[in-house]
Amino acid sequence: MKPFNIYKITILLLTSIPFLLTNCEEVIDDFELKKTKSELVIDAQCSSFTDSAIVKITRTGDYMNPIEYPAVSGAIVTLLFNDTTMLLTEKSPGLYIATYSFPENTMYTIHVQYDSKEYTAQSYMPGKVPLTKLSYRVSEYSKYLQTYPGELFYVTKMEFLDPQNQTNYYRIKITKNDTLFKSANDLMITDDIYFTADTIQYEPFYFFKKNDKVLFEFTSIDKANYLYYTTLIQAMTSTSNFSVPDNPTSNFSGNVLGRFLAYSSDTLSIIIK
Amino acid sequence: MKKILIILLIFNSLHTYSQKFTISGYVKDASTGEVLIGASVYVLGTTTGAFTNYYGFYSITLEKGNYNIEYSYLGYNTKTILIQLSANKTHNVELSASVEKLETVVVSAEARDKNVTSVEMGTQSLQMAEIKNIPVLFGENDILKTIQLMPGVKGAGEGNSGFFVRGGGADQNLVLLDEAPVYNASHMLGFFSVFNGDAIRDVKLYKGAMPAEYGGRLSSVLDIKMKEGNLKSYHATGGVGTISSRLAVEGPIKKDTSSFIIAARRTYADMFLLFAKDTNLRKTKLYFYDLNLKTNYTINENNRVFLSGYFGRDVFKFQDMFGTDWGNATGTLRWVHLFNPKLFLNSTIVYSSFDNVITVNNGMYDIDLKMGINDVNLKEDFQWYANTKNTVKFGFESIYHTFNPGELTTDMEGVNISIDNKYALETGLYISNEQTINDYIKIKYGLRFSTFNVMGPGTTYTYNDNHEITDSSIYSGKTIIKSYPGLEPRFAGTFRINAESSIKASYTRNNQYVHLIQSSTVSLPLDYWIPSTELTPPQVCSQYSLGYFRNFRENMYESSFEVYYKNLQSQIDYENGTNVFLNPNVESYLIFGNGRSYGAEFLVKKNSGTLTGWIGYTISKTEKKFNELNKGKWFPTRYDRTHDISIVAMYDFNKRLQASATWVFSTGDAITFPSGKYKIEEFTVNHYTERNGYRMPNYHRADIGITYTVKKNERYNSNINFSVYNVYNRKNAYMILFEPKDEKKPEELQAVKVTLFPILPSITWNFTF
Repeated sequence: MKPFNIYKITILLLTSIPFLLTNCEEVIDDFELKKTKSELVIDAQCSSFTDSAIVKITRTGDYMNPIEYPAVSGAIVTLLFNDTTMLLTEKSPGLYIATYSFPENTMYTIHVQYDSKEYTAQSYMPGKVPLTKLSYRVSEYSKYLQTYPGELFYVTKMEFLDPQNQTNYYRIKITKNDTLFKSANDLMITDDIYFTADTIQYEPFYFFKKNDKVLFEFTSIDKANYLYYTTLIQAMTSTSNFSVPDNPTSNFSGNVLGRFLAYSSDTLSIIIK
Repeated sequence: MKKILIILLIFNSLHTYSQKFTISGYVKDASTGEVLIGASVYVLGTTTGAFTNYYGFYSITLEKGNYNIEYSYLGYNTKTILIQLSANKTHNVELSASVEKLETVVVSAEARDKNVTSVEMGTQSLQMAEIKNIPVLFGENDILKTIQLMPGVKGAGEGNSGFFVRGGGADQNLVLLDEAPVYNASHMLGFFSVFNGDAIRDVKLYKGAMPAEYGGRLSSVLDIKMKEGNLKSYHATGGVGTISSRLAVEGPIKKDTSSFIIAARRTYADMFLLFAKDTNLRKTKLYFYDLNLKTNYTINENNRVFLSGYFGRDVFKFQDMFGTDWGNATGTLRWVHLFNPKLFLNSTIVYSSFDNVITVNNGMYDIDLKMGINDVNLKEDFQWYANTKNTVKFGFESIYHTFNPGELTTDMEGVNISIDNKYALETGLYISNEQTINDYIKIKYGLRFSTFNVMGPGTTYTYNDNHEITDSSIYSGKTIIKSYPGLEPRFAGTFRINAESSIKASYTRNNQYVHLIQSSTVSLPLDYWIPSTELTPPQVCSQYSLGYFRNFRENMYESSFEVYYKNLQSQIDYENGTNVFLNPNVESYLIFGNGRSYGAEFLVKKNSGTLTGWIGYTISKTEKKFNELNKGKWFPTRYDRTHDISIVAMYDFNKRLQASATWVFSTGDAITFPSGKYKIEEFTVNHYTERNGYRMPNYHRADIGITYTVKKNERYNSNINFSVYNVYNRKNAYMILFEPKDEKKPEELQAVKVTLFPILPSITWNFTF
């Protein structure tokens, strides 16, 4: 458990105090947000885990009622690493793809040229950090959670060896029965500055039931993307009411939304019996 | 020091050939023996007069002769005494409260025409009696919420006691309780202030033109003075309310020499949870308590000693999983000494601390987090009544701060976080003179020389743009790591147009060396204080103000119109994505920008009659600018509310029945809402285009209160206060959320406002015997 979670729990509980007292909700009918012009969004990834580079180029949609996020066709997308230059092909509108066994511990550069503007970003793909163990146990919260008597809830624990003498940045993705947990609160990231041992155990606050198939994907990312995810979480979870939200910090030059992520991953799965 | 004083006064001392004597003494309340602050002492037939100081002391120098001296204080019977002045004389006066309260219900603690005559501007004084009559949430009368009803002061939101003065931040208010700084002046996330009305004597707020004896915060000084305790007889005051009860006991330890007061208060919001059906809710704890204590001893005419203290805690416990416990403790030991009738010294030793402990148990691990600040403070304040035209104040203050930004202990393997404590010595050396130039012009000028020394032991770091440590230096022992000196000039002047009106102007410069690192826009006990260091420069504010003051109908009505402009430097914010919580390198994430705030404040106050109260209106603008935020453009601050109106009325129907009502209106807070959204991976992300570019809906609300005196005689007095918060059940938006219109189409959103308090009646029974 990362100490940051204490902070989240504390904020959540403290800000809920007023609501213990009293509160009510009401729809505001005449509420309108300012209309702003649609902006370009580049979601670029490349990975040794999927052996692919995928770049999705879209535009922003209306906040209250996004009928669509328009796909952007006709961009020229190139990926550069070591001495290789690779042109991505547009498989479907706005979706640019290249397949290759991308090397780890390598710096990648992406160029997107569109509408006579150029956007560039760099991302370092760190070496994969293997998961060493995945286990489960009955949660002590079972007694609070059960919907009928005797029902048990399980928590899982992952273990890995944190490489020493360097700062590592990780993201953990959890899949239950082939469905990825994908809400803003499921975006779990950590750096290793608080880790004092090399073997790290982590028991995320997710409950499973018997026969659930649980898959952990342990992703190694670079610092810029760690910052992107940190700011992305804030942009998604902040309600404006207690903080001042801002756009995530992109690694792209040229004033564009989105980011370029090069990552490596390891997975382990387990079935709860 | 003495030399400077002599130079300052040299041009005034030319006419001191004739024989002069000084009359001095204390003005006290006849029934309690407590001193009266700001009582008027006036020499009849002349233009000479004085007000008693913070300790009830006055001193007037006159030529040899016979004088009729009038002692007056609002709400008290005036006394006139014939003095034959042929030597220095001490004359202590006791004034008794007016019997016909009905005709002279007075809500201001100040002398009748002080609004016009004094050099003070941007200042509001309140007496407890006034605060107690104003209806508030849950019937808990509250100093900080009453202050918010004054022009230029904005509250932190629905039911909240947090306040912002003339565009200043929450950490830019110097809140003093018997001269001890209170670092977190609120309970239960701001819904209640830490000041128990039963223990408080009076309150003074400086929004601008702070006297030179105060320093260390940019936007305001809130000086709160505790009751001293009745020197004549024993009394108990108390109340039983909707969510809290309180009791205060006071009386003489030795009659007319020594007295004490003890006041306690506890809320019982969580008692209702005992009736909850959910067993988990029943285990939830949510309460606060506080305790005030004060005692004093008069050694002789020239020496008096005071000891006062405050202790309060907030406890919030959610089952066994989560608990937080925070609070303030302050202590003040003060010795008031009179060298001679013209020289007055106040020596103070102050202790103040704020700490927060969070405990989390997730079933496997216990985690304890501690954070806080504590201060030890030594102060020497001299007041020298140089002559009839000059009153000089000088002295120094020295504060030793210890900062604990966070320390986490846990039995969890491989995790251990502790951010080093930081130490600092803050000193202030000041001198000021209040000078009457002639019947029309009075000026007050002063200078404060402040120094902030970051002290060892400690380690300082230098960072690169990636927040990586590039270098560090270790300092051991009590060495000075970094020193910030600062000059803070203060000036205020009054030009009296006639008996009823005056024009005032002031300039104030303030430096602030301690900064609150806030994790959100609301004040949470997770916020922590850090000192200025090599990487964090002091905040600086210059304020210019100009005002027109006018009283009507023999001072029955007073009015003022003030305009101000503030220039703020080195304002603090964070880079996007900064986690301020338990971050040992938080300083490398701080960004510094400028601020500006300007506005006009209008106040009309009716001080006497069966109907009293005031109307206040403020129009203002506050903006900040950081290179790193909002594309480097100016943006409004959260609490930049353009229009702010408050109307307060109190009406006496008869001796038993009093009613009061308030109405407030303000422009909605500036807030950041998204202007679009987009997809990244599997996530839908908000797109923000403008910082604080939106507004919450306008806020308005009316409250009413009725106080019925059940019984009143010499020995026993009891009343019942019935109040209604939000009378017309206005649904003010506390938050605005965007929620799906239809669960099946989660992308299509609608705006939903969350309101906090509907119409809310409360009842409190108060007694005194």
